[in-house]
Amino acid sequence: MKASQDISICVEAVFAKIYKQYSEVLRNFIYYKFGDLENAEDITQNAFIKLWESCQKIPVEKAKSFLFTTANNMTLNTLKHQKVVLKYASTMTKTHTDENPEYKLLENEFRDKLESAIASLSEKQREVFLLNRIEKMKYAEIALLLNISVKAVEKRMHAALFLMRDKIGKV
Amino acid sequence: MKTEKIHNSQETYLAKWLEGELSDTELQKLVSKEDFLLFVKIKDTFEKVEKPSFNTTKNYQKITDRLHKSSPRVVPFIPNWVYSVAAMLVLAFGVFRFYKASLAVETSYGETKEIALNEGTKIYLNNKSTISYPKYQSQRNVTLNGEAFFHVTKKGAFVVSTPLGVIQVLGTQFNVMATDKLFEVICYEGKVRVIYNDVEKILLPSDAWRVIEGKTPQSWTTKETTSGWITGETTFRTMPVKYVLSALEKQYHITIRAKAIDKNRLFTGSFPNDNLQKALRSVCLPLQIDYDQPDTNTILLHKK
Repeated sequence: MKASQDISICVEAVFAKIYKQYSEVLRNFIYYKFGDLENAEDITQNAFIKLWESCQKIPVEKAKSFLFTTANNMTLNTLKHQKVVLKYASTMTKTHTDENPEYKLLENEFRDKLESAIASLSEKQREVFLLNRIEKMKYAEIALLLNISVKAVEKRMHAALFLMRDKIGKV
Repeated sequence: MKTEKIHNSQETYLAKWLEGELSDTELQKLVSKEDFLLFVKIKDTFEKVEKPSFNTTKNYQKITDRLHKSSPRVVPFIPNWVYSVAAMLVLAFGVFRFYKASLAVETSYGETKEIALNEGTKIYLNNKSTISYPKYQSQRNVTLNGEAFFHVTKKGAFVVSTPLGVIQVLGTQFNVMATDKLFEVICYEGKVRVIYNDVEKILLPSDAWRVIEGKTPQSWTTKETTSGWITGETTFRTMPVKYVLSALEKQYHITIRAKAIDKNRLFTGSFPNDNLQKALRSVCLPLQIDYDQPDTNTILLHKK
């Protein structure tokens, strides 16, 4: 019995499973690449609708690449890159502010610079860097997701950090 | 010190350092102190960054509304104008016939039915159950609510959709008990794939699997070669008593009233499907309960 070929995306439980598995990472991927969280969410939903409409033509194992390609193409035409706003863990910032009020100011300044630095990266660098740093994905996982080599992921990470240093260091 | 031109594009040592493959000391040998401190600060800052929040359940609910509006389609082979012409013809001749795309079979109390699909698959439907299947059986996809035994021919994928989960098979024999609260699959031959929420379970012959009221799924193996009810006996394995009583009701078209009885006690055993008195004794004796029959359709259960 060939495993995955028997499953159809047209079965709603299968579709739901794919949704649970990929919707969040897809939304974040689009967000990291182009900014604009709300738009990333809409595009994610639309990509899943497209998947549902084409469910008879797409085998389950191709669902992931279909989703990422579709979402990416939708974005390419409509979105201009906006800043990725970093969300910081509230508990951690709080302890610092309590201890030292001046610290917060410096911290905020640095974070602004960091966000600008992220915005100045190329799409390819930014998606890889944020998938690794925020989404906590391993280089190998990112390579698989983007269909590039691990070496390419490492080069982009390296370049991204270097560029961010330039950008932050200058100010 | 600022590094003049960014870097050699083949370099990856910062990537290695971020993933911990290169130590701080090793990095300090490669970059200036100032740069090193900045890299560390960037890295540390990201440790405090959280993923943007995402509510999978809520978003999925939003999408399901839209899904049902846009049901799966095949690429049309017929040009669109054909539909317009056909629609005009229908209007012109006033032919309004309703074509049903699927057929449904339903069983009543104590009734079983045998359904033979064109492609050779046989379905035995137990009492108080409903099954629907496509009229044109190119898609082998049926929907079940209740209990059925399947003998599926080897002609590609066969899918059983139920309220709680989905079962996918090639050629095989298996039994499904599927209501809103109970989902049980027993495989007798071949290989069965059960999909329930996030869980995907492969059953081999003799494997049984079930989930009751959303609790942790249970697995066991059976010694039977076919479902008991096929041969005239309803069997249970550590089943909460309420489902046993409900099975009695469905088989004999009776109403069972049980007040001071613990309906979650577990019952293992069987009852015959052709004799109510014997059936009642088979259930009540091991559970140490008494029963009365004030009228033909009512059974009262009480403690001994």
